[in-house]
Formats: sequence, C-alpha cells, structure tokens
Amino acid sequence: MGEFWSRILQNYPYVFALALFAIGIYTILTHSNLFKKVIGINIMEGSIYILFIAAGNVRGGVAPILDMTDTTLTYVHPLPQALMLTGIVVSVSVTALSLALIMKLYRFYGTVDAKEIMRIRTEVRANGARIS
Amino acid sequence: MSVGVALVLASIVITTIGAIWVAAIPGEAKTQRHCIVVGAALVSAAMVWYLLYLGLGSGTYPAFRVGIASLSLDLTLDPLGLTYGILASTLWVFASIYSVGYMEHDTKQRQYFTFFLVSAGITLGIAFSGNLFTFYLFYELLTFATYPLVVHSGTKDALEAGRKYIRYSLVGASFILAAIVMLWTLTGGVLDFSSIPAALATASSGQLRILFFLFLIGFGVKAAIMPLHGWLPSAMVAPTPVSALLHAVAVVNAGVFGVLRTVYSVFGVDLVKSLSVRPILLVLCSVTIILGSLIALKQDVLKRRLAYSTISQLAYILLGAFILHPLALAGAMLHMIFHSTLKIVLFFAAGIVAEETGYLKVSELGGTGRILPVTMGSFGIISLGMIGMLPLSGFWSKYYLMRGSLAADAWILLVVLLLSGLLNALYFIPITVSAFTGTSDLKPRRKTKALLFMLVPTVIIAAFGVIFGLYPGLTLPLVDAVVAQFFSL
Amino acid sequence: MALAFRDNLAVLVVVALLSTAYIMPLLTKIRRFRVAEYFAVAMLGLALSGGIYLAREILLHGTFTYAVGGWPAPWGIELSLDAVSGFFLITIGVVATPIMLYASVDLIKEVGSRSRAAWFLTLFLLLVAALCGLAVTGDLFNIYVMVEVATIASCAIVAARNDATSVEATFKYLMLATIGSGFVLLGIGFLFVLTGNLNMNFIAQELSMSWQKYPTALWVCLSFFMVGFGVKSALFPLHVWLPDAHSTAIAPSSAMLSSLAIKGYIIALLKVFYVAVGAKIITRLPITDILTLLGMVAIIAGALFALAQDELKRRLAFSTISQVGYIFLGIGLGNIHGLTGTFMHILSHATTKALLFLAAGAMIKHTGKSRISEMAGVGAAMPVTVGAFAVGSLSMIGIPLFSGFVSKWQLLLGSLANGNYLAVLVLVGGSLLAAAYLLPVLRMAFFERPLQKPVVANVSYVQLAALLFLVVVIISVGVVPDGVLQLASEAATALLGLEVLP
Repeated sequence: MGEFWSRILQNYPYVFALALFAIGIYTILTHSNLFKKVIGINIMEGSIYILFIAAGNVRGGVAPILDMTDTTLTYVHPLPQALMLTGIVVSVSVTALSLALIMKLYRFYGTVDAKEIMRIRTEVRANGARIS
Repeated sequence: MSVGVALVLASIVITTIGAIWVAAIPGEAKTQRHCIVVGAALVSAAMVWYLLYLGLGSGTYPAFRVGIASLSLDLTLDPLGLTYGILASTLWVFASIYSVGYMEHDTKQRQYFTFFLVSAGITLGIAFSGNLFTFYLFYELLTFATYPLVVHSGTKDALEAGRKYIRYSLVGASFILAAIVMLWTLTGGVLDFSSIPAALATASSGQLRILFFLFLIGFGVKAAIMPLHGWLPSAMVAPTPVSALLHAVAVVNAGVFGVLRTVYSVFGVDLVKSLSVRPILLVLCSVTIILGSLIALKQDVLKRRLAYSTISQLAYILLGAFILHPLALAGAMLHMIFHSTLKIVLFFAAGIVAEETGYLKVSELGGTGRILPVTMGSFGIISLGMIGMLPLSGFWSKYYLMRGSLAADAWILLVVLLLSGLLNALYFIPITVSAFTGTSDLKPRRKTKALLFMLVPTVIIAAFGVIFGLYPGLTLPLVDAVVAQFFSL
Repeated sequence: MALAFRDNLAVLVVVALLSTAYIMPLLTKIRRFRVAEYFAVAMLGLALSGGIYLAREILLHGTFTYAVGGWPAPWGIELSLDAVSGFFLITIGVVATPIMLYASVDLIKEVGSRSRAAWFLTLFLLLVAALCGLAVTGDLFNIYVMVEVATIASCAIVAARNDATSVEATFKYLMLATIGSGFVLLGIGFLFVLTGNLNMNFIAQELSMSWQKYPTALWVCLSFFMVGFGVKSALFPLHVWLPDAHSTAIAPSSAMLSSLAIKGYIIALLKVFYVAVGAKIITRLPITDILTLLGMVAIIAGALFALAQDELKRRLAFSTISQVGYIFLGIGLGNIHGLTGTFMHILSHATTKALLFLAAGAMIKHTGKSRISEMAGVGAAMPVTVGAFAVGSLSMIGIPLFSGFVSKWQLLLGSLANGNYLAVLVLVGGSLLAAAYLLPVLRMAFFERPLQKPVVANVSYVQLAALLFLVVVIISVGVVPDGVLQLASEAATALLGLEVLP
C-alpha cells in the first residue's frame, strides 16, 4: 500500500489532471446554464494540457531551445508542448463556436438555461407552432 | 454458351424485359400492354418447354454460372426444377390471359401487370437455381415482387393481409438465411445442390437436425405447413388471378419446392433417413392435411375454403416427399402438377362467379350454375378431381402416394389420405350440387369480352385435368426423371 | 515520376479539398453561385478518382507512407496509405459527390441566404477534407486534429438551417462531441505516456514489446478511446445527440453526417485499435467482447427506437444507430470476416443511408409532410424518388442483389467463425426489424389510398441524378462486389496483420 501511495505522489500531476477532467465533465453534464457548460469544456481540456505537459516534463530540464554552447543541459520533451499549442487552438475554436451558438439560442429562446429551453420547446411543440 | 444456357437465361430475362416495357408504356395503352404481358409469358413458357425437350431428349442439362465474390449466381436445369418451371410458366400464360379479362376495369393495371411479369421471371429463377444462394435470392425477391399484387386493391383488409404476408415471409426467409450461413460453415463454402450432400458428410447429426429444421421452418412458411399457414387465407383478398396463380401455384409451390430441395438436394435421401426425423415430419403433414380439410369445411367464403384446401393439399406433396420412397416421390411430383392445374381452375371459376354475380360466399352460390353453366360445370368436374375420383388426374397422384405409403410400411398414412379425401368430398360436392339445383333470382347476363378472356383459360386447363386423368402416362417421363435423379434404382 | 505523383496524391487530396473549402466564399462573390457549387462537385469527383487511383495502387503495390513536409517519422507527421485508407477514400468520394450534387439544386433556399450557402459549401468541403485526412493519416495527434475539424464542421452544418431546433440540436451535439474529443485526447495522452510516441507504427512496435508491463493502463486508455469515439459515432448508450442533430439538419447535412461523418470516427477507432495497438493485443483484452456486446445491443435497441418514430427523418436517424451497431459488432468480432463485414458495411451503410436521407428530404420538401403516417400517395406523386427510397430500404434490410446483403453476409460468417450464435440471431433479427421500420414507409407511400388529392411534385433532374447515382452504386456493389470486397478484405487483413491472401 505504501508503494502505491508513493507512486501516486510521484505522479501527482496525472492525478491532478484526471481529477480536473472529471470536474470538467461533471460541470458540462450537470449544469443547465449553457455558459457553465462551456466553462466545463475548458476545464476538461485544460486538464488534458496538464497531462501532456507533465508527460513531456523532465525534472530539472530547461525549455527546449537548443543551446550549442552547453551540452550538459537536459531539455524537456518539446513535442507535447507543440501539440498542446494545437490543442489550445482547437479548444478556442470549440469555445467560439459554442458561444456563437449560445448567442443564437438566446435570440431564439430568450434564455441561456438548458432546462428553460427544453420547457419552452415542449410547450411550443404542444401548441403545434414553430419556433421562429 | 450453349442453346440451353441461353434459353435458361432468356426465359427469365424476357419476362423482366416485358415487365419494364409494361411499366414504361402509358397507362391508357391497354391493348398494347395486354399483348406484351401475354406475349412475354407465352415466349417464356415456350422456352421452358423447349428446355424440357432438350433435357429429356439428351439427359444432359445446361448450367450457367456467374461468380459473385465468394457466392455465385448459378442457374442449372435439373428434372425437379424443370417440373416446377414448366408448371409455373405454363400456368402463367393462362393466368395472364385470365388477368386481361379480370382486370378489365381496374385503374392500376400498369402496376398489376408489371409485378405480375416480374414475379414470373423470379419464379423461373427459383426453379432453375443451381445453388442455395441463388435460390434464397429469388425466394426473397419473390416476396417483394408479389407483395404489390397482394395489396393491389389498397383496402384496409388488403394492406393488413399484405403486412401479414410480408411478416411471415421475411421471418421465414431469415430462417433460411441462418440455415445457409450454418451450411456454409459446415461445408466450408459449398452451396451447390449437386455437391452439398457429400460435403455435409462430416457434420454431426445434432447440427444436421438443427440445420434441417431451420430450412423446414423457413420454407414451411411459403409451403403453408401448419402452424405457419396464417398468411395464406388472409392473402385471399388479392385479385383472383393472383390468388389462383400465386397462392395455389407459384408462391406456395416455391415453398414446397424449397422443402423438396432441402430433403433431396441439400441433405439427400440417405442423410435424412439417418437423421430419424421422418416420424415428426409425417405427423406434421398428416395434421396439416386433416386440419386443413376440417377448417375448409367450416369456411363460407369460397376463396378461403379453397385456401384451406390448398394448405391441406400442399401437405400431400410434402407427405410424399417425406416418405422418402421412390413411389411416394413420384406421387408428390404428380400431386404438385395435378393439384396446381386443378386448383387454378377452381380459383378461376370462383373469380368468374365473383365478377359476374358479385357472390363470394358458398351459401350464396345456389343457382349460379344456371347462369354460368360452363364455369360451374368446370368447377364441379375439377372438384371431383380434387377429391380423387377416378377419371380425373387427382386420382393418380393419390394412388401413387398410397402405394408409396404402403411400400414404406406406413399404412396409417393411408387412413389419413382416405379420410382427407372424404373431407374433400364433403366441402366440394355441396357447392356444385347447390349451384345446379338451388334457386336464385339471378338473370343471365350478356356475355362480355372480359368473360370470354376468363372463361377460355379456365376451360382449357380444366380439359388438361381430364386429359391427365385419362392419360397419366403423359407426365411420367418428367416424373421418372425426377425420381431417377434422387433415387438410384 | 509515377511514384512521386502517387505519393503526393495522398496529401494532395486533403490539401486540394481544404483549399477549395476556403476559396468557396470568395468564388461565390466573383462568380455565379452555381459555378461555385459545380466547382465543389468537380473537386469531390476528383477526390473520388484520386481515391480510386490510390486504392488501385495500394492493391497492386502494397502500402506506402508519405512524410509530410519531408520530415520522416517519428519527428514529422506520417501519412500511411494502406487498404483501409483506399477503401475509406473511395467511400467518401462515392457518397460525398452525389450529396453535394443534390445540395447544389436549392442550397440557397434551404439555408436561407447566399452568404450562408457559401459558408455551407466551405464547411461541407472542410468536413470531407477532414474525413480524407482521417483516412490517410498515420499519426495519432493528426487524428485528433482531423477529428476536431470534422466535429466542428459537422456541428456547423447541422446548424445551417438556422432555426431554433437545429441550433439547439447543434449545441447538444457540440457539448457531447467535445466530451468525446476530451476522452480521445486523454487516450492519446495515455498512449504517449506509455510509449513516448505518436506515430501509430512506432506505438505498435513499442507496445508489442512492453504492453504486458501495464495491461491495466492500456485497458483504461483503450476504454477512453472507446468512449470518445463511441460518443462521436453514436454507439448505443452514447447516441443521445444523434437523433436530434441528424433529423433537424437539412437533407444534405443529415445525409453527410449519418453516412460519412460518423464513419470517419469509426475509421479512426479502427486505426487506433488495430494499427496503433495491434490485433494481437486487442483481441486479448476484454475490449473486443465489450464492443461485440454493445454492437448487438445497439442493433436491437436502435431498431426498436426507430420503430417508435413517426417522423421519417427521426426514424432514419435511429436506424443509423442500429446500423452503427453492425459496424461495431464486426470490429468486436475481430476476425477476417467480421472486419471485412465492418468495412463493407461502412460503404454500404454510407451509400444506403445517404440515399435514404436524400430521398426522404425530397419527399418531405415536395409534399410538405414529414410524418410517415401522412405520406399516403407520395409514391404516386414522385415515383422515382420513392423508388430510390425503396432500393435503399431493401439494401438496408439486406436483400441479396443490394449492397447491404454483402456486408450482412460477411458479418454472419464472422459471427459463426467465432461460434457466436447470439450474434447470428441479432443480425438476422436486426434485418427483420429494419424491414419493420422501413417497409411501412413504402407501404404508406405506394399502397395506401391518399386522403387528399396527391400533390404533383417535380423533383429536379439533378437531384434525381444524384439519387440514381447512389442507386447504381448500391446495386452494382450488391451484384458484383468482387472489387470492393477484395479491397475490404485486404483492409481487414492489413488490420489483423495477417499474410495477404492470394
């Protein structure tokens, strides 16, 4: 048991990342406020950045900018960092798209609450009309 | 490509071309459409007859094969398939002439005749398929091609009947598909009728029994074995030529033909014997024979009575097949031919009565013989054949079935056959008697062209029923060939 | 020369589509809208011929790789072209081209305005480009990027109609799809931590040596992938977004999403499971059993849900859930017939469902009736369209002579090869249920007597041509499947790592 806990402690960034991931998903699924859902997405994606960066990290390493004069330097793995830049771009575009959709939904329904939208929709459908 | 192969293909293709042609010409061109329909059926039938001539003359049968990936489309002639092919394609000609008269005032003629011809080609495809995949393909297509004919009138009843028909058929076809896949894994990919029995030799009898019953249930739906017969009586809402041709000849015999193929081509006589499933099968058929007749007795709607009679008579053919004796198989083949020719006349007559008088029920038929003497006369004579009276063809098939039962030491079947004959007499003879002795206030009507179109085929086929009765030897070359195909004598 | 052309073609297909996508709004500004649409159709046609050429090359000369930007793996992104890529490229081309053709007829009217229509073209082509990218890529992170592009593009084309219900469906879709992406990225992260690589071939090498050291971690990582791609490809309990999204979108969007978009994620899943992790490892983990089970549940449950729908497009959307079950069942079976069946079903469902959605779109648009129970007499008003729908239905049910039968047959053989009789039962039952939910549409349209006088509907010849193209594909794959079947079984063989069969 002791060994298990020490391994967990050593790899605390991973644990942290997974916990954040769970929090993110929980936020998306349980909150009915559309903005909170978007925040949840960002928390979730942030956790994955942590995971990747931690995976590429080397204790005591420096930023991977090649220094020809000093051959003793250890660098952190540059690949995950590059990838996460892409990941951030992706997450920004997803966020932008969702915010745009929220704007549209607000225009259609006058609310940003998923439950409210559901209620309005079923009411309108029951009346047989179309939402314009 | 030999002449035979070309003819096998052409007999199927010509009806398909005819169907497309019928669908393409405008709805008003009635005469043209009728000519195409009858012409296509006639040419196709002529080709099949020529194939019979070729086959019986030389004893060799052409085969046509196109590989479709690991499956193959395979058309082969053999005596069994030829019998069914001859039967279907010939009666198709008469049924299409009859349809011309019967559908005279119908507004959806184009749809009717298109699917009528498509079904003809598909039926020939079933007859000539040389492997199980091809058989399954055409068998499945037949369901879809005949569905529009069943629901033709578009009434609630018709749609309900169509729904029932398609449900039964598709479930049945699924059993066949499952059986084919199982067979495929058992034989390592052999589906050819000619080579399946040898490839099955290594399978365990437990697996073979499962396989056999999968096939039996699958084909049993179309062959209307009780308790899988539910669709047939309700399908009687279809126009009469459809009931006559499809529900007394083509579709139901496709099921019977499937069972024959299963027993004789897939498993082979010896293998079926070794499975010791015969008692179950014979009991199943006997029950269907007796129950079918009993229920027929209680039906008042003429077409429904005929439908239950069909269910009972089809079980005769299956009984003959399951006895697994050369004489019984001969009886089964004869009964397949004779029952079809006789039953189609009965349906045609019922259709004429319905068209001319509007009467559909047996209890209303009193006196109809006075105004439709030829129709009801044919009905009366042919129903005697159905019962199995001597100068008519129906006698001979029952005679062979009985001899087969005796030869196979199954004398109890004799009782079944005789009892059913008695029941047949009970539900057929009163119809004729009341038609000619009963009174009615019907006035004879002027004979129309439509009536003539219906009457001529009826009388011609009825004449065949008598001729076959007087000269049963006419059919023997074909029947002998079938028996010789499956029994080494 | 020929080799250089071939190698570059792989990346060219994707790049050409991407750049066409971005010039679309510009093109519609300076030329007539029609021109832009036909240009898009032409580009998709070119992509199709490129796909066919690549597939032929792959069949003749075996697989090959292309290092993007001249950086070899593991430093650069590697495109790896095998039979899987060839097969999926052909599927994309064959389906996307007629959909675009169909859309070109009344796109502006459907989406509301000219500029929106221009952006629709962009997004459509982006989606196709991303799917092509998924087909050719050999790099895990590249898969993630392509998956994201595909997700965003498909979300946006659901919202193209710009009404309340479709925007709401889009939002739901986007949320769940993003959760899916999160899981996928997490899975990629795990694989990276375990192996230190993102190139799938290198991961495979690394894992084959060391996977026994951490089976649990691998298992967790694979279940992340399963959940992630499962959400995106609507594997049964994770399908909640699909019915809304696919039924509220305009017909070409629905067709595109149901037929191709979800298949892209399945191809990605196949690559991760069978290329990166490898058949040897996958089949030893319980994950394949779970996929088989989920597939079977999806087939039955999706079909039962479909039966309960009266709205035609919703019924088709639930049918997709059922059909995706077939594909996952094949993946789970993990033998040559199962995977061949998976590939054949990817093609056959793509063509069939595209046909059904497009035909349904035309039926709904011209008669104004979206419910099956109102469709009496539609068959008489538009016989060719409903006839095409009938062909699609028969193929979906799996009647011989139509493409659906070919895949069903392979899946049946695969199930029996594994001794999985339950799967046989489910496959056969699934077909019966498909008959139960599709044939009533035809009965209604063709055979029920209409209550009012039937409307006269003139479907444009271009749309009919698109439908007939799909009909021809479905029937020719059903009648002569040899070529595609060979490609599919080659793809399956490649995934299983078996010797190529003679």
